[in-house]
Amino acid sequence: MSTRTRLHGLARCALALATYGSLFGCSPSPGGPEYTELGVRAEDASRVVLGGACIPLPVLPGGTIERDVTLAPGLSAHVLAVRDSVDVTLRGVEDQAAAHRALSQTTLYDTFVENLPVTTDTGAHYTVWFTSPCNALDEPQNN
Amino acid sequence: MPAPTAPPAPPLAAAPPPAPAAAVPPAPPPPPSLNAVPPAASGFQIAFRTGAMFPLGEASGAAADDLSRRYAWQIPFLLDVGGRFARSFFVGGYLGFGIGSTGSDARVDAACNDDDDNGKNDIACSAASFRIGVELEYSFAPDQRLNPWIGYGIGFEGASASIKDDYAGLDESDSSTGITFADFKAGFDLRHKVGFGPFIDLALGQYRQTTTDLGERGKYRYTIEERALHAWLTLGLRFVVNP
Repeated sequence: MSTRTRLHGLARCALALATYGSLFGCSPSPGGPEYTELGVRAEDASRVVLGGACIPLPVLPGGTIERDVTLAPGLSAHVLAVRDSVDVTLRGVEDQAAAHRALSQTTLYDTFVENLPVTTDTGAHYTVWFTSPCNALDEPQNN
Repeated sequence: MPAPTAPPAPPLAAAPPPAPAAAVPPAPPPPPSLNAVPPAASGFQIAFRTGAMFPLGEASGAAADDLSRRYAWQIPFLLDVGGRFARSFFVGGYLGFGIGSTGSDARVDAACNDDDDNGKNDIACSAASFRIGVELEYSFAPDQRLNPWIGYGIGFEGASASIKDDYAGLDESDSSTGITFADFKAGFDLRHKVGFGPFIDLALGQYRQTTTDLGERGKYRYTIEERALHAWLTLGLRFVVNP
């Protein structure tokens, strides 16, 4: 069982305890899939977000999500997400070898943050962030 | 002394011509026997088929994308509508849909299993399919009680699976559509006023497009690049009006 599902189950048990004063009727999981998403966004040197998107991964076999995301002037991403993985191809970047990222669902299911400095064909520099969940960079840090 | 000769017999009166027989109305045709075999059908014909429909092959060329992982067996409801001509031939169209559950994929199976005890199904999973096309059938014994037949069809088809998660408030429905290249079918009808009999149907097809509907999170259409051959095998009974 995944961490999130466990936490959901525990929270429900705690709620049932508080409400009914007993564990009767409480069990670990009401079912449901493991929802996963990938956030892609680009920042300039001053860390201003220029563009991005949040792409959910489908949970059923056969589900496919294809999107073109504008990240910054002259920089875009082609995203192909299926249930088990997501492929991101950056377009407009100088280094084609670094333009492709393939991330598995299991990698993304727990919190994931990665950045990739890129230079566009026109010579502009940006930082592309890959995050899961999408708002991973926005959440306050608990240090 | 010559023997007396008998007097000649009086000439017989000409016999009157026989009176013409009284006109007898032709006997009415006997009422059709309940066991009479109906003559070969012509004109409009409609048939209903149902049974069980099993997924075979691969839904796409992606790794481990077996059709049976997406969809479980289904209950089909099929209509064949058209006309009979030249005794043995039927040409028409077919229209059908099937209902069932999601397939054998372990993750989906686990996700669809609501194992809490709150008496409420928080997760609803289902699958359905449709098909439509044209068909030609040939009957081997169109005027006999037992009429074997074969058929071929071509058309469009689609299948979808969906999951509705009331607990998380999220939905997903994935539909794939494509071409039915060849729908081979065969069976035999026991011909009464309404004929009936078993049939087998193997519909070979290929999905070409997928639509992933995530509700408020978006709806995405995708043209399948790695295509593969799949089939739906249907076994069941058909009922024919004007067999």
